[in-house]
Amino acid sequence: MQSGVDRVSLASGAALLVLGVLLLLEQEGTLDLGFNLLTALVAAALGTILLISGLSDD
Amino acid sequence: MTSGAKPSAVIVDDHEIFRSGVRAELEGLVDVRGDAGSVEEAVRLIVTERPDVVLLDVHMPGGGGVEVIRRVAEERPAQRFLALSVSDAPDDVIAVVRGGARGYVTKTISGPELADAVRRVRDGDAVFSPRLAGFVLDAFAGQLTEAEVDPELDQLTNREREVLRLIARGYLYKEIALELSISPKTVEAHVSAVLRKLQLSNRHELSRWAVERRLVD
Amino acid sequence: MAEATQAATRLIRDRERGLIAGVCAGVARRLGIDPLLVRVVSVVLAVATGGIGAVAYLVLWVALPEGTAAVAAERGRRSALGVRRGGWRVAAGAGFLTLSLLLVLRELGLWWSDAVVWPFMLAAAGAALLWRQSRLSARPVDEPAEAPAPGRPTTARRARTPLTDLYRGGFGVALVVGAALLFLSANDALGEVRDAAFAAIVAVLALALILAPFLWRLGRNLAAERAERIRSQERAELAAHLHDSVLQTLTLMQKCAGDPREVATLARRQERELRSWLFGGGSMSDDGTLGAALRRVAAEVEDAHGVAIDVVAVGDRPLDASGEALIAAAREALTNAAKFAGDAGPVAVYCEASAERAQVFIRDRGPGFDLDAVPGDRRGVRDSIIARMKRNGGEARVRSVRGEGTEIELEIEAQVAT
Repeated sequence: MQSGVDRVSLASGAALLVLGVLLLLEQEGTLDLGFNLLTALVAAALGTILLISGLSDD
Repeated sequence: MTSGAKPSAVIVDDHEIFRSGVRAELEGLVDVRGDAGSVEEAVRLIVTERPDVVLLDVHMPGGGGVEVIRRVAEERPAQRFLALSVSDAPDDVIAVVRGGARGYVTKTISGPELADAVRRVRDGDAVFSPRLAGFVLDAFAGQLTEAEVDPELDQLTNREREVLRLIARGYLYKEIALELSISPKTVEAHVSAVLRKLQLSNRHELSRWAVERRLVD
Repeated sequence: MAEATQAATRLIRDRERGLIAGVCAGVARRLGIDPLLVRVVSVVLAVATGGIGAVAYLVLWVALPEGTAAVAAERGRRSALGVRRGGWRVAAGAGFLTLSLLLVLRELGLWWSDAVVWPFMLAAAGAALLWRQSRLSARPVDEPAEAPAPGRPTTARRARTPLTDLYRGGFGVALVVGAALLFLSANDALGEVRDAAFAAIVAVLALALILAPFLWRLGRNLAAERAERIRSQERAELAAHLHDSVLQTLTLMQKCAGDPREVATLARRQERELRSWLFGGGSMSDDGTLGAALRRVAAEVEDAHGVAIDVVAVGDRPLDASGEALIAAAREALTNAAKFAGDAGPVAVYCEASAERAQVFIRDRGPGFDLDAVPGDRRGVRDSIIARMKRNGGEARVRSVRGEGTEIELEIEAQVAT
């Protein structure tokens, strides 16, 4: 299913992009997230990718 | 030409109803000396009574018709058998013919035809039902492999093939003789030759059918 | 159907499948995943927040409407596909998202305590895995789980082998044990537990050694019992079939005992059926070959006219258009033979089929007829058989001798198409 595959890649790409930006900002010092939120973000990105990939693989 | 005397026979089948039915049908046409319902009984009866022909069922507990032939051959190697069966499966039929039977008929055969078949076996001829002819044609149809190298045994001649086809089409021997412009004796000779090949050939189909089928019960 | 699909996209409470109020089941239905997953996540969140998550559940209970009949119908259809989608990825994804949510809650302060929540999460995950595993392994491995309609390939379930069962079960157990250890260590109770655990392990091993032969025999007995059950099932099936067909035929035959022809027809039909049932559907199987079609036609004519027809076939080939023409001509010839010569004994049919051509000979022992004379409709029919064969690129030859019967030969070459 073409649209299904694209959706997964799109979502994964977007999630990783957002994650990357936030980590960058954290590193730079603009944002101070703390351990909790950082891990939460990584887990959220990973979870989203897995979930969407799992759900669209029917 | 069949001789005038009535042939003597013994009926071997594990279904009692069938045995008495055949007895009744052959009344007056064949001298039925007895019947047996198991392999042991059959062997004893055959050795004692010494009939011309044994009407032998293929499926019987204790080894089936093949077992009877084997055991009787130890004491009376010249005994002639005519196989009789409800089963039309090539495995059964071929196995018992390769075991030594000189012909095969199905149980739906009529009384007079059966008596005629008994007479023919008594006289040394082979009895081929149309179905058996079909099986033989099937078995000898394919190409020979390297293992089957005896052209004498493993191939049918054209004449034999024609005769078998006519049998399969439902022709009687005398009709076949007319059709092919040969004598009935020649037809019988061809059929006997086919029987010999059937019994001795190592053709793949034949040995496979005979081996695969375990005639127990 | 439109209503059903509409229902599928609304978020409702699935009362029938839910444990308490169907909230989790409803959410699961909407997303198309296993309700177990949703339940585990919600329980974990509820505990993590020290019970505040339960309020969310109550809110949803009130807010969401209950499922309707359309939903029930659609569910019946759906369950044929298998509820769970995506396998382990959905579960893992949900796990990570839950983790993320927990960490956010931790940051926000809606948190019970570390020592409780983390072990609880591990334990819940392990328990869920074990629960799913036990539900699956209630069915034996070789049985297809909820076989879908034929023709619809199911990708929803991965193949289960004993190894994957073990793997999943082991993983679940590991999670639960890990949770317990974590909890204990967090509460500094690990030391005492270690001694107790040691004693417990020794006790369990001793017990296992004692019970081992008994348990092993138990397993064997269960397997034997299952085999016996299958056997008796097959026997029951056989008995049912025999009762159905054979006993009925025998009864019918007794009823028309005065009509030998009818009795013979009944007997032959039953013989055919029983033979094909016993020997695995040989002659009657619908495998689209010329031989099978010929036997079918012969059986039909036999039953229609009460005449015995013996079919001998050598070789076979798939049924194509030329074969169908041949079969149609054979049907006509057989009907003829049955009508005019059926009393004179069985009709013999011989068929020889190879890749290049097919020949059918139909022979009866009827009164025969003079080819040159014109005995009414028999001549007409004969012409129609010959004409039909010619039309399809084949040939028909008729030989008849008065007093000796008739033989019709039908021959057709394979079509050169393809």
